Amino acid sequence: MLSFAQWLEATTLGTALRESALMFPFVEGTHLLALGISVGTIVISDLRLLGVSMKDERVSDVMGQLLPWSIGGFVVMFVTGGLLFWSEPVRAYTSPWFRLKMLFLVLAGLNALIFHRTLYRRIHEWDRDPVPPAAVRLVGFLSLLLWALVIAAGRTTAYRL
Amino acid sequence: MNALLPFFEWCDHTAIGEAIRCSVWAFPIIETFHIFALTLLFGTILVMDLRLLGAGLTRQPVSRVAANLWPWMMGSLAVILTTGTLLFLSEALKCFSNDGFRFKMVCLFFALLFHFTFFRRAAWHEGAGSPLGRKMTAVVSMLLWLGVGVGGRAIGFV
Repeated sequence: MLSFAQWLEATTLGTALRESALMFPFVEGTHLLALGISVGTIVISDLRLLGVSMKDERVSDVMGQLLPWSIGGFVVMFVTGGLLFWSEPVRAYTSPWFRLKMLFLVLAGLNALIFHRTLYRRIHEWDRDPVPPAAVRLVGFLSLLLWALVIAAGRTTAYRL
Repeated sequence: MNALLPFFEWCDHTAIGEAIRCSVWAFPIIETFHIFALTLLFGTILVMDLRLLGAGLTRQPVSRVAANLWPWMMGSLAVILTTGTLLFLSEALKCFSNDGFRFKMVCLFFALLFHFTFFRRAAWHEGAGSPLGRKMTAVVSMLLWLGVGVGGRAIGFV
C-alpha cells in the first residue's frame, strides 16, 4: 500500500495538485461546500428518522426529496476528496486520523446500506409515525454520530497532529 | 481600516484568545464544532432555499418547512457564531490583515441582514411577494452564504 501511495504521489496530477497555489484551495473549498450539501441534507433526514424534526411529514416524503441532494453532494465530495488524497497520498496513508476517517466513512456507508436493505423495505409500516420505531431511530443516531466522526477525523487529518 | 487595529490588538490579547492560541488541541476542537454547525446551518438554509426555488420538499407548504427548519438554523447559528468568535480571538491580528477574513465578514454582515429580513419573510409568509421574488430570495441567500463559506476557507490559504 505504501509503495502505491508513493507512486500515486509522484504522478503528474498528484504533483500538479500539490504544487499549484490555486488548485488545492479550490478543490478543498468545493469539498467543504459539497459536505454542506450532502451531510446537511443527511442530517435533516436523520433528524426525521429520530422523530425530532419534520414529524408531521411522511418519512419517505422527506427522505425521498432530499436523497438526490445527499447523493449528488456525496459524489462531488468523493471526487474532490479523491483529488485531495491524490495530492498527498503518503501523508494521508500514514496519518492515523485519515485511517479513522476512512473507517467511519465505511461504517456510515454500511449503516445506510443495511437500513435501505432491511428497515426501509417495510417503511409503509412506520412511514407516518411522528417518532419511528427504536431500530429506525438507532439508524438515524448512528448516521449522525458517524458523519460527525468523519468530519472530526477529516479536520484533524489536515492539522497534522 | 487602521482605526480598527487597536480593537483587533485588544481581541488578540484577551485571556481567552491567548489560552486558545497556547493550547495544541483547543483550536482544532473548536474548529471541528464550527464545521459541525456549518453543516447543519448551511444544510438547513440550503433546503429552505431549494424549497423556495421549488426544487426540494415541494409537497410541503413553504411555511411548514420553515417552521420545521427554523429552530435548527437558529441553534446552529448560535454555535457557529460562538465558535467563530473564539477562533477569531485566538488569531485576531492574523485576521486583521487577511483578505479572506475581510471578504468573509462583509459577506456575513449582508448574509445575516438578508436572512432576518427578506429570507425570513419569504420563508414564513406563504403568499408574500411574487414567485420570481421568492426564487430571487433563494438565489441571493445561497450566494451570500456561499461567499461566507468561501471567504472562511480562504483565511487559511491567502
